Amino acid sequence: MQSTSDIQLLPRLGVGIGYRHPFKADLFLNRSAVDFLEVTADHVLDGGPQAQNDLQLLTDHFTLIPHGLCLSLGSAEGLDENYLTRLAGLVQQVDPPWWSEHIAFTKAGGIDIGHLTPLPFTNEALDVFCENVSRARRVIDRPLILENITYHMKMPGAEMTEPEFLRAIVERTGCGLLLDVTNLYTNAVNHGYDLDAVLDALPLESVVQLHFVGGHWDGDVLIDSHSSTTPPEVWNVLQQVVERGNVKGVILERDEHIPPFAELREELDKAKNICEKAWS
Amino acid sequence: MSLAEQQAALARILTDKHIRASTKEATVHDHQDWSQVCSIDSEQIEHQAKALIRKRLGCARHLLPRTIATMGPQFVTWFTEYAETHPLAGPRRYEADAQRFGDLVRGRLNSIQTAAIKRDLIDIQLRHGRKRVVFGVFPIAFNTSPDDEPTKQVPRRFFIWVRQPFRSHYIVVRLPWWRLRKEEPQHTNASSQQSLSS
Ligand SMILES: [Fe+2]
Repeated sequence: MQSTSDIQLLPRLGVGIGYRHPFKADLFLNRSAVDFLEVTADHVLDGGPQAQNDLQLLTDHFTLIPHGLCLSLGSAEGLDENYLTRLAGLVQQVDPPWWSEHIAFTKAGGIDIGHLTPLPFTNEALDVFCENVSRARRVIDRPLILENITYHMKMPGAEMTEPEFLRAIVERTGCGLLLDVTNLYTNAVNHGYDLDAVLDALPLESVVQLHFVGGHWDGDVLIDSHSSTTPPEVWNVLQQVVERGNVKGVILERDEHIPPFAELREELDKAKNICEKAWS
Repeated sequence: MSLAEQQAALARILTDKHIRASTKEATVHDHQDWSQVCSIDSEQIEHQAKALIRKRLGCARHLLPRTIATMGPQFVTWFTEYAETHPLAGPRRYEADAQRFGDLVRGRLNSIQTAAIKRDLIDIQLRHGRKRVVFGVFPIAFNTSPDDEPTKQVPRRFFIWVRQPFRSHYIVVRLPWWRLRKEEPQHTNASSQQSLSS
């Protein structure tokens, strides 16, 4: 079983970006700005031969981290074994230092929700999640790290807070955390959490990787649309976590309204500065 | 209500606006199965459902660029309308989503928009290793004889527009031999008899 000490031994990868096809060429033109890439597993699994060719090219030039979206580790009905097998094939092909998935469910009652849906912070959900993680890890023998999500719905019946839930997952599974600092900030804004208290309660020593990006406002609700430059508040959280934790990699996760790569590079350089200061 | 039941109910509520509406009634009629899910603030459920549509819309944007260019803001309205009652399904679900949306709205589009969506959908098929996809078939030569009414003229040759990854090309084909034999003998016999008698 993976343990916390295994996580401490993972290699430090630096600062990278979530791979998106529109800036494929820019990655090679800005090779020095990108230490590693995160590939969305589903883009490859669903992407056909073209996506496979891209994956081969990227594997030859970058360290890649597969990032799953649809394993649905929180599903009470268990995992989709077919999907798990395909994901395992991808992880084997990429041969990464770790891979990641979300603390959420995406499938239930025969319906593919198509989006990360929150779990209630209950002991039952914790049991289900840990059981599914252990099943996934029996099939995929590579360190797994788990990402916190944004949620608009607060699930009823909570028996603990979100940081307590995340800590319990880390302790019971031995997995590391992929802390999405944008998600953390978005939830704090939308649900009125005290961000400093949340940071204090989180197991920052188990954070392996970070995600950061900007969202947009829809009325008085902050949306994590991955569509804009990172706001100062998120930079602030990122800096705090990098300074206080033992982060191995930081990923800019831009999906929508992708700007010219020079703008993305500015953000990557800024993240690199923060990390280099903290890691020196 | 177990976690599995709660998740299944939530999946239905989040992916279908009609069910969301009926859920509100269900609490009134004291349907216990829905009660725990219903205890989530309905505004929060709407926001979560909206996030789900936004995600699908984002994927559709990448898959249907020409369609969006020709439809403008109408695309968002129609796609949202469609997605609110059609959950994702099947393998390669986002592509299947774009395909189903395309099939549903095609009849409501003008000719430019129809051509755009057709091209986008063909590109999706080509991404998955299809070597070539027939984009359109157009008759270009007809069996003509002075006696034929224009409506009865039978196409003899077709111009077929084939798209392949990175290029399009055209091929011209004749009707299958059995079709030609069936349509042509009368004209051939008639004309040979004519020439003999003259
Ligand atoms: Fe993320």
